[in-house]
Amino acid sequence: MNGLFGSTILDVAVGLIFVYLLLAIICTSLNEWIAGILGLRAKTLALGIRQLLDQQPKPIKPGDPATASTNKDWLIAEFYKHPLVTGMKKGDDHPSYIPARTFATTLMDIVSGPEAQLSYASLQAGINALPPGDVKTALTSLLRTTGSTLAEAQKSIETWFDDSMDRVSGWYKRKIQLNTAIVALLLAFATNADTLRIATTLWHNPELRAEGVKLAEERAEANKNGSEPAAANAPTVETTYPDASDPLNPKMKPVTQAERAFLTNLLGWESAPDFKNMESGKTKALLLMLLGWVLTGIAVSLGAPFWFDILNKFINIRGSGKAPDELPKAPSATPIPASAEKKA
Amino acid sequence: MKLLRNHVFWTVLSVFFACSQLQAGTLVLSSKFVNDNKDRATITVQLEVDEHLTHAHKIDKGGDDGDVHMAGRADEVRLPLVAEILNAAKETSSMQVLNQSSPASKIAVKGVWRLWFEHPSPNQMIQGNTVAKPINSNPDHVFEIHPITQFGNNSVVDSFVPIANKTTHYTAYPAATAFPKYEALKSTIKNNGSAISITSTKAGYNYAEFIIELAAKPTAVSDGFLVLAKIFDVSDEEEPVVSDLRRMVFVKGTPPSDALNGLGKGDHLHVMGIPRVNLTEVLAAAKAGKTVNTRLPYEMIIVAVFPE
Repeated sequence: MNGLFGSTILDVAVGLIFVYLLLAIICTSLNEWIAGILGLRAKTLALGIRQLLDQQPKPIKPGDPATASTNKDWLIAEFYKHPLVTGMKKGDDHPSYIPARTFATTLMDIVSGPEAQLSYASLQAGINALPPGDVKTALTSLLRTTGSTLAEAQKSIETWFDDSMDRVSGWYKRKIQLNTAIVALLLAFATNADTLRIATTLWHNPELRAEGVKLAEERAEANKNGSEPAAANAPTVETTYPDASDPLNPKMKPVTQAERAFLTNLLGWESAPDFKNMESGKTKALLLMLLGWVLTGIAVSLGAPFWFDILNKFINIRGSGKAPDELPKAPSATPIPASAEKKA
Repeated sequence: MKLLRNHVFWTVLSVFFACSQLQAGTLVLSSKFVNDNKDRATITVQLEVDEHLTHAHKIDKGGDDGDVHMAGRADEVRLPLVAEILNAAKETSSMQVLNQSSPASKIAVKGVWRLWFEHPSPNQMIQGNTVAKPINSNPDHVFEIHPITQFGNNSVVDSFVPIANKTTHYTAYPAATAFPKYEALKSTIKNNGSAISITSTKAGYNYAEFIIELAAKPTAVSDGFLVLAKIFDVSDEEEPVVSDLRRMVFVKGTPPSDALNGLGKGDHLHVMGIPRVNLTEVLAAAKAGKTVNTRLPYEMIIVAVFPE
């Protein structure tokens, strides 16, 4: 074995981390797709808005049937009927994002009533006319703590909405984390991404190991080049058009062709143990395989930014001490980049 | 000693030049603006023209492109803005309107919106912030209306033809030179929900001449056509200069969009185009994470079709 630096162990580690990074990027894309199909963002936002606006009956006006006051969802229904909000909907779908300003303007408009010119006085009168309910209580306390202009009231309602949306973001993040863990495990199983087998393959296959290190260095280098405004630790993504006749819908191309080829060589079911013809040690092999999948699943669920950070650290360690067989080549043997050739 | 001074002078000048080329600019756009304009060719604004040239650039190559520049402000954009008329010397009515416009008056301008980091500011450009009155016709900016299609009451769609005057033709950058530069531009895209920021290195190579092979029938949008295409250098129609398909933008009612009529998959056009940031791809990248690094997503505005 060649020493610690530039050694097989380090190269296997870089290769393994690189596989985790690529799988994590694929996992993120799958997760986004699933979240989009399920409308997770919109559903979570709808839940957050319901929590803000429910439990508020309709103001009773002379001539209104008394039963109207028992409708606790009156304000939510009015909110979603308002043109400022319907304009953000795509068909019947709930919008996945509502700006704080739109929320505040819509709410103030509903509470003030359609007849009134929107002003601080009409807003205050509208709040006073509301029957007891959660929104009346919230708005009354918001107005008590602000100045007496419409702009200040609006700002205060926007802050109330933003604070609540921070909580909603937390719910969404937790849902996504759970989804990520499930998707990561399914991905590990579907691609037979068994950590133990990947490490063994990299250990025994120097060409594949070298290819992994090369691709990992390229991906890390792409974010290091001083001429590029790259954000440290941010994943590198590429867009592509899967359907040439649809120029309106680009999709993410998470991994490059070379990276895909590298993954194909390492993952898959073709090189899985042949359990049928195994005479002994079936249980042990199966348990090890399960362990390998679980390890991969856990690793992938840590996310691409995490593995990108780790990869950078390992590449730096690897670069800080070259093995004797990796010493820089003499200038005459170093290929001249095309740009330098032109200058010369 | 004199030799040394010269050497130091040129070294310092080269370093400054290199730094200016690498200068990164950051643009912060409202997500609504991105959503509203991503699949549109044009934008219409009431432009307050603050500074402008009184005559068109001469026609040769590089910056001598026959355009006329005007710098101004528009409530619909709320970013430092420059608008340009292509083949301006031929657009005498529009030049007259421009030269007779009084300060602070607004002119209705429709044209291709164009985001490109050719003249980025060292400071962040945030959409919605108060835009300072420009002091010349080409201030720091990344937003352009270029080319203009309607200036006041004058339609200028007939300016979408190869740039030329009676004696000279404009020499655009060959595809083999321009596209590797476009492809090499890197960007960082950040998404915070209500705003999307794009940081990119300084870009250039405004006009490129190339051949496109349509990958499909063009898709009609409200004010033009979008189509994915392979890109070839005029001197080599075998090997594309870009490995992937890139999106082409044709503006409805212009000679290039007329030339597109009836074309479909596999058809070729010899064109001149200018690059702009592709907001559809920016949005797709922004959805991939809060912060992502990517090549600068771009598409080509087709401003002229060369006769075969």
